[in-house]
Amino acid sequence: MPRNAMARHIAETDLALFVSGDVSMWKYAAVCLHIARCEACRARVEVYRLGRQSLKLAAGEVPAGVNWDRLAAEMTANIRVGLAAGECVAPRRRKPASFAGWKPAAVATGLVAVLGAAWWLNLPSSDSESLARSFRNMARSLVSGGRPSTPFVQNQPVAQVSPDGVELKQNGVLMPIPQAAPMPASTASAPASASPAHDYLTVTVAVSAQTPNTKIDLAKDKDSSVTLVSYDSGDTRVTPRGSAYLVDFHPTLSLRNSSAKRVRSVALTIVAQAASPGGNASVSVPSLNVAPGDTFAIHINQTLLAPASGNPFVQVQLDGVLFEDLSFYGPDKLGLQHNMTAWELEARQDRQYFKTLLKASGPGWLQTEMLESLARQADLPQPSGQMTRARATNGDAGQDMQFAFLRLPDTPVELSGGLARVSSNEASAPHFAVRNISKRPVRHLEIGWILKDQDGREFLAASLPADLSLAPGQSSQVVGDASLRFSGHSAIQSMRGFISSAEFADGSYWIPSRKELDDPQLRRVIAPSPEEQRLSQIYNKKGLTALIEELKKF
Amino acid sequence: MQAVLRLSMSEAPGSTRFFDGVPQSSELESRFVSENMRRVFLLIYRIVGNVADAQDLTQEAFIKALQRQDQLKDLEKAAHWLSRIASNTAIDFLRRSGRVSFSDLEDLPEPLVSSREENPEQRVLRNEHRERLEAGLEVLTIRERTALLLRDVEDLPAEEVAARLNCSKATVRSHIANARVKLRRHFERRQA
Repeated sequence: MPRNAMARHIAETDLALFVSGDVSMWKYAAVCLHIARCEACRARVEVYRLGRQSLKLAAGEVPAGVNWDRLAAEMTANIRVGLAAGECVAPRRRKPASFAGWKPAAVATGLVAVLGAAWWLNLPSSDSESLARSFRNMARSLVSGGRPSTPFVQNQPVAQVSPDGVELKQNGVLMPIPQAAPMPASTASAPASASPAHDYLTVTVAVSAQTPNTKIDLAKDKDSSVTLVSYDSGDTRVTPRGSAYLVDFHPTLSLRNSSAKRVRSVALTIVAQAASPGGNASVSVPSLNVAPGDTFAIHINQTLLAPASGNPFVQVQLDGVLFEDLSFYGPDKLGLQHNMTAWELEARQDRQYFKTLLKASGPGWLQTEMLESLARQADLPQPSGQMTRARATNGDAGQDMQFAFLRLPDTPVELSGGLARVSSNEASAPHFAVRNISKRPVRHLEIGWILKDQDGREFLAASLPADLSLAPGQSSQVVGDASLRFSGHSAIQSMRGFISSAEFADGSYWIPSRKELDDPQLRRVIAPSPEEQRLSQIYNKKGLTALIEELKKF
Repeated sequence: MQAVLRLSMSEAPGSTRFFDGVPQSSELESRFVSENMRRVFLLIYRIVGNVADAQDLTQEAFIKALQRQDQLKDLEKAAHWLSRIASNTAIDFLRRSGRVSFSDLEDLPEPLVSSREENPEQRVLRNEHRERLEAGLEVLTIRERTALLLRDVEDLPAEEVAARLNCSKATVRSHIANARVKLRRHFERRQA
């Protein structure tokens, strides 16, 4: 080889790829020829070769500070619980009629919307950051039909909080409050809020198969805007299921608005086992109107899994409170502040509409409107089978299916393209192209995802929240890892998407107007707002006069 | 700019059958988990870079695998199939989160416990290797690190790495080359 050719060494990146054969045949031959005569490059190749070997060797080492045996045991237990959850939680909770996504209270006849009934493949770790992350990732659009709050049942132990302390009563008789069970020694399976410092209102209920619900540990934030008045276990039951307890959790919490402002909505997190699927849930209650000092009840209706080992417990914690001035209090681990604000804005819009209707057209028209609303709620289409959600994976088979879009006239953000991977009964990994067509920067979007099944039934399957920073005129891509799957033989025929709400960078919101929601295509699939449902239920149960009185309160 | 949708995890129908044609057996499942856990955890850990996330994602990967065992046609390929689920789970996580934190390592109080017999010199050497690797991997971008690990540790061909990272083979080659060059320079600087 001429001296000038020898002087031109092989490019560093080619040497680096040569050692694994990741170069073209021509390049491979050229490198072989070159290093046969060039000691420097040969040495360099040897370094890369050794580097590969060293990497493989070192990659097999467990990270420093990790007790592998303990970690492996913990993961094995969590996997077991996760699989057990698949067997015993899903079939119990799932009802076709309970599915809806976009407006969590839309389907419920009561006003308790249960969101994120179980985390499936979302497996948070123990520390608070991880818990928060997991809460943010958990289901926000899964709704199971909440039932109306029930009166307190006094044949179960009831913990009552007063300025003098906490009392535990059963059948009206004062009982000694047992010492709260110590939290499991393995902090990896205890929720972050199990730490001694409770920043927000928290109720911890120890559970066991032998004596369920007899140990209640109450902790409250003295400065909280919402405080606990009493806790009633209701018909909560605990059943052993393999290495876990199945907890049918049906307590009622009586809360007091301790702030100086009216409460409009409340969200709670429920954690039975932070590190496992099936062990976490949440409850949010929209359309409240609780004056300062007043009390209100929240009924929880959930099925959870708790590990049978250690000292199992269920912990209920305040996650957020939205006030009439749209201010927010709480850790917001669920990331529901946007939704709660949108519910409130929608509620105001709806109340104003009904008041105007009443004033302009009289009670008869209001009555007609309520009857139509009730009929619409009853007629909402439901998927023909169960629908479940999970994370999509790259390994999911299928073909890309394009979204069709519904564009609401005043939408600040335009959906200009979208795909999801569809395989018969499963749709996953949605991608959307969005463009800000407003004059203000947008920081959050909610995208409604409508599916049509093989029988031609269309329904709102999910709401996809996206945090972004989108300047006026700017385009962007939003990608999701969601997977929606019908059970049985239902197949996905088509999909549609639409912007259901947006938050601007200045903190203001856009929600569709009632006129926009009157679009026949949307009316077929979207339930009336939580507030409209509440008002229509008042009409249904108490009559027109009660409804008119209710409207006067706002 | 790309935003990440934060949807909505919830339940998927669970099935604990283990491989078509084999009777349901929790023992088989347990063996499958125990035999592969360390490998899967380390693969995910090297990709995501912190123990807490790796723990979550390892559990998630096994649950996915056991729930989808009917997708596995060839038992001989179970390990490869599981690796693919694991790496995809980790890559999906990185796509969603767009960040990696290494801080959690320091929070773990327990010292390393090894069941293997080894003398102190071997242990020191092993720890040095591990520390060098961890420090080296930190200088890489997420894509470079992931591509390198899949290629050099998992021994996947570049085409499959490209498929998992959802990019072209040329891009994968570029990531791998950059990663190796960066690692070499990093190690040389440390030695100097």
